[in-house]
Amino acid sequence: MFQISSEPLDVRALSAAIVGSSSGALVTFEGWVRDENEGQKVESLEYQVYHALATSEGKKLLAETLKKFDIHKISAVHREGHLAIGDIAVWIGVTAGHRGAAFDACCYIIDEIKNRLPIWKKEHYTTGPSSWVYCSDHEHHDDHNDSHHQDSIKIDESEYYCRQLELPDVGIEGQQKLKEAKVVVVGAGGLGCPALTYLATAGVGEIKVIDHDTVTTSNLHRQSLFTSANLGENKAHAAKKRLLAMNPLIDVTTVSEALSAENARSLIAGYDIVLDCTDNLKTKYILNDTCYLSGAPLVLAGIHQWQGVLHTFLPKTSETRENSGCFRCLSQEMPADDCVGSCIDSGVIGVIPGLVGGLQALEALRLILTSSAPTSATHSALIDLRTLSVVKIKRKRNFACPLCGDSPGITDIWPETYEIESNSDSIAEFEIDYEDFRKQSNDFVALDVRSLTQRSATDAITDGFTKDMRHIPQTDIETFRALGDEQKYLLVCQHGISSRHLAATLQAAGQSNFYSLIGGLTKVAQQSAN
Amino acid sequence: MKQVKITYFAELRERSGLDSESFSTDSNSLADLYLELKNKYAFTLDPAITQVALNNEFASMDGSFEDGDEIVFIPPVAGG
Ligand SMILES: [Zn+2]
Repeated sequence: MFQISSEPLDVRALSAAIVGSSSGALVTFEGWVRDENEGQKVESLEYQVYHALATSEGKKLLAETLKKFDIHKISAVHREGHLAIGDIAVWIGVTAGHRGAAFDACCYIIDEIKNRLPIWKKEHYTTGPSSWVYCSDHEHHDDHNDSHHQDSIKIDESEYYCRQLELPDVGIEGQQKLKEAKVVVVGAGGLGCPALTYLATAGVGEIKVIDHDTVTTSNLHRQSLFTSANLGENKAHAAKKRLLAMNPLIDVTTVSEALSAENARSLIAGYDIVLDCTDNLKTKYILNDTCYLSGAPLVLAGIHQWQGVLHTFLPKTSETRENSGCFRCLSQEMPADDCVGSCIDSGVIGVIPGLVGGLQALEALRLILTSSAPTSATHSALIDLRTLSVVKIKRKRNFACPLCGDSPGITDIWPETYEIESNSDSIAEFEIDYEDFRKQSNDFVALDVRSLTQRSATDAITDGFTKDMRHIPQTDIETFRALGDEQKYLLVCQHGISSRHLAATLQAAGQSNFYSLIGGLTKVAQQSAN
Repeated sequence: MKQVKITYFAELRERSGLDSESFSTDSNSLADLYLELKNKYAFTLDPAITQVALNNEFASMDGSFEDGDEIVFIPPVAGG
């Protein structure tokens, strides 16, 4: 019998429970709290026990000992909580036919308890601050299947988490909650890498990584889980290897297909929290709707240059969600993906998604560790990292919301919901294909409207086309206005998106002489390559 | 004429080149105010897909505002 006891030990009763008429010997061991440790005067002592692990490991140890030695019965009890000098901290009793085996087994058990059980002791000294110490150098064999993890290095669980166990909001109970938590991270990119890092190292027991992309050189400056050795590898797989190397005590599963309206529900089923670390709006809406309908909290984020947004949406069953709405409540319509700048177009420095992704992990950890809803469940954060300012904007449920409103139209995940007519699918009258442009190029003056950095980054491939082109950055609207409405102009950008928007704006203001190159320089480069 | 403080976020900040500004307007709804600014700074985003916060609370584009209000226009942000 192995026990953790918060009450003082009744040594007589413990002995009586294992003694029988066939016993020739009873050997007992009592470990007492003494008044001194490494020269420091100890006043009292406190034991903290990682219950689930200590009990299962203790039972395993006693079963092993029974097999190993020729003995009859064993009992071992370890105290937890506050103990005074002279209290019994641990008691072991062994009965056997002969004394030799009983002594050996008793010695073995106390050594192994010190080595294997996740038990901490906090000594309160008469002078100076108290501190948590390990009962011994643990050499704990965790019950993970090691062949499942790539390396077979044994990591001691209690030692791994000891620094965060000190944190008042974590402790043994919090650590157990983390171990039982299951979190899905959608996207292992700029936001996903830091989010995954901190979820894994905090000890979230089961993490699912969903990403269909492969690691490229341009990812490495911000996607901190990857190195040049991962180039060409699926991001979810590469992330899993790295995460298990950082913390072999957790389980990581991977999905190397993209999350879609078709698979979203099954991919997040059974998980407690979902992190949206994607770089596209369509997936954000699919996740918003899926999480709302299936009752999973969603931590959704996005960044643009030096700024980021962070939303935490709690399930509809919780009181807060009823008042704080969903992602759909925030704008009247779901935008098409090409309407906003991506990291490719707008630029990104690694620390920005690093911080915002880190905050996503923090949100998830807070949801796991605290039962009360965080402020962030009713407020979204607008984060400006150039000025280090965070503005919290209060949300409320929009009664007209198609998902969480009073008469919702979205009651299930249908793929059609997310097929937003992208402007790029229909070609506007003022858009011209590169081939058509070449046939009438004498009628046009082409203008390069990319930003300066985009120009220098991509000129090599399309130099022949853009070399002599006049450059007016797309943001310089006054210069475009001053160009009048006579001469035909062709606006050229990287992907044909900014130039289309710009042409549309100028057209709307009466300058019908402005046209946009379909597909931008990316398409020119493709066509030149063919 | 109403005088409001407007803060620009993400892409709108990039396009206007401004963190925030004090702005005088005759617009009645937040959507009208946004369209006024869209025209001024050549914003590309429709008001229907843009979010707006009025005095630190998300608001509807159809809503009105008053003299002295603080308004943030927030485009959808998808980088990651
Ligand atoms: Zn809603």
